[in-house]
Amino acid sequence: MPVVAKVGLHARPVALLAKLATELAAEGITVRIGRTVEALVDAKSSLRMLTLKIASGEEVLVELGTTDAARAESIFTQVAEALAAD
Amino acid sequence: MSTFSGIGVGDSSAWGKTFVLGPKPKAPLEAKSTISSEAEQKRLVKAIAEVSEYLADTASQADEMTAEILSALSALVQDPALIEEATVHLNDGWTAETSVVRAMNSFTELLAGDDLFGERVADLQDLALQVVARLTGQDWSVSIPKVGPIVVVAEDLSPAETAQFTDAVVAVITQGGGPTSHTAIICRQRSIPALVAVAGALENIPNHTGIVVDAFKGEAYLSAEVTDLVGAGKSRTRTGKPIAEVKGNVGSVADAKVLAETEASGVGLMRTELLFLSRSTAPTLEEQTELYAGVLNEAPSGEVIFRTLDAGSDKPLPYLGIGREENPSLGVRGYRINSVDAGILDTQLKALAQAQAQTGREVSVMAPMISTVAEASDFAELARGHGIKTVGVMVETPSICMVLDQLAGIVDFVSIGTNDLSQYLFAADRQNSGVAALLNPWQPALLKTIELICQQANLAGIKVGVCGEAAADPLLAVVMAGLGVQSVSMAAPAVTKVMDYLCSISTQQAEQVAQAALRGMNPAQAKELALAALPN
Repeated sequence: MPVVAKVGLHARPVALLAKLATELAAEGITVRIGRTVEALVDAKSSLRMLTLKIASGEEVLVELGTTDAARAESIFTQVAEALAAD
Repeated sequence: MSTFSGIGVGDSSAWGKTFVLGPKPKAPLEAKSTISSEAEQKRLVKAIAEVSEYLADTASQADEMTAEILSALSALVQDPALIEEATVHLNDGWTAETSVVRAMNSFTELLAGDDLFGERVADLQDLALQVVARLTGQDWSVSIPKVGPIVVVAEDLSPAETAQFTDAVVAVITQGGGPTSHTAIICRQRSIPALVAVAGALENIPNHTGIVVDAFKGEAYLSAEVTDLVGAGKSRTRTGKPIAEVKGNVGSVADAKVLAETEASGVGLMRTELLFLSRSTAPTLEEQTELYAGVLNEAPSGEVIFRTLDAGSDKPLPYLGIGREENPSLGVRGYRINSVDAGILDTQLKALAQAQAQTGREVSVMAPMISTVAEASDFAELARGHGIKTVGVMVETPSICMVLDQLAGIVDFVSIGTNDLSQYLFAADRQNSGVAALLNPWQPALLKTIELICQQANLAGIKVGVCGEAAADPLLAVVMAGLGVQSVSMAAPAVTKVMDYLCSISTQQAEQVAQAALRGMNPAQAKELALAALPN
């Protein structure tokens, strides 16, 4: 999905994603994000996400550790919202 | 009387007692632990929790914008990845101090040198040092006195520090920083004078000593009594009409309303970016027409100049499809966007033409980042094709300065954007505080360039305006008028002061002030000579 936030994957979107990922971790759902499948980072870590240096307009991969398709759908919506946060 | 000079922020002056914040804690020498790695880890976890709590506490007392920054920092320091990385070093036998600095460095090394993310590096390193300070029992948390008047003197100030400013803080002096640093922005918001990039400030300014900070002159006088404040700055008595037109800069309908309360004659720069930011698709023709008509309805009488979208660089927009650039400020920005997406400019011009028809008030339009005559002429043709009569271009690149004479008959006016012109003239990044001194608007080379622009434009029969915030410095506005600039434009709060100056002097006198400034060998001298040449 695209990073819409105007400064890229920066302070605000990163903080929102980390918060979301931490909440999901409590349910046993992992969230990883990155440019390629080989280079995904744990979305609980703001620092690791910042070091990806993803700019506005770039496409990112989001991997969810769940088999529940409906749940995944709703999480993807939340992730997309975070990626649009300025 | 010791005098310090730097870059003044604002045009006011103040007197207070210095409150010197010592240098920030330095990273400790790397050391192996003498206790178990488990014990070291416990120390680290506790210190991190303390820093996080301190930041969250400070956030709860700060204004909204600062609170957001502080909460983000509080969350960052608690990032589990920091402990994870540090644990690797702890297990190798290093102390908690060494491990946390090494761990943070592993993140900052990846961010350094990047245009957009590089600015985070200082914040993150600062966080690691705060943890170190807790570990070593240094009381690093600064508490700025609540009773003043106080002049804060520091290397530079972090959001956690400026968040503590009360009305007791009447001025700020920083050794580092630049005109666009966090400190400068906060001081402008609070309307207090600041002096930034003051060499040797920490070494030479003693604590608890009286000092006058004169942001107008860009100087501070040590050991001064409060009475020395008289004579700081200069007040002017108006004797006639302004020698150059004074317009205002706006970005919204609300700005235009505020500007209408001042004496500004029209708008020298309407920034159209605001509507384009923070969204995933470009604004529609209707949305744009509504905004432009709103501005035309509210703006003070006089010419209203709209600048077409100045995005790219520091203001990337996802829907433009420019992608990631190594050097965004040298990339596809401003008018150059038209080469990758012609629809944006076309819609803007259409909206401006509709707003013109709706309000019955004429618009002027100009394009940013023009570097060739061909670009200027293509833009002028497009704008005139939409029924806009008065068309101009921004002068921000050295290349267009060289061929201004060829713009005769093509454009009606040019407008100098001093910030970007400085950036490209001096090859100095506006975002990089390390080169801030080069971007001082009093740089003699910038003044010479403005003189050249005026001469060339005059020969070509083209009007010259300045819409960079540099014109908000009233003395600099006089210099510009003396160099041949016919209109200056700045944010609403500075209009009255600039009017005071431009109404108190003749064109011939302004020319003398300008020529005096041009003799300066450096920014401080240029300003000093201009001030000396200014008639009382």
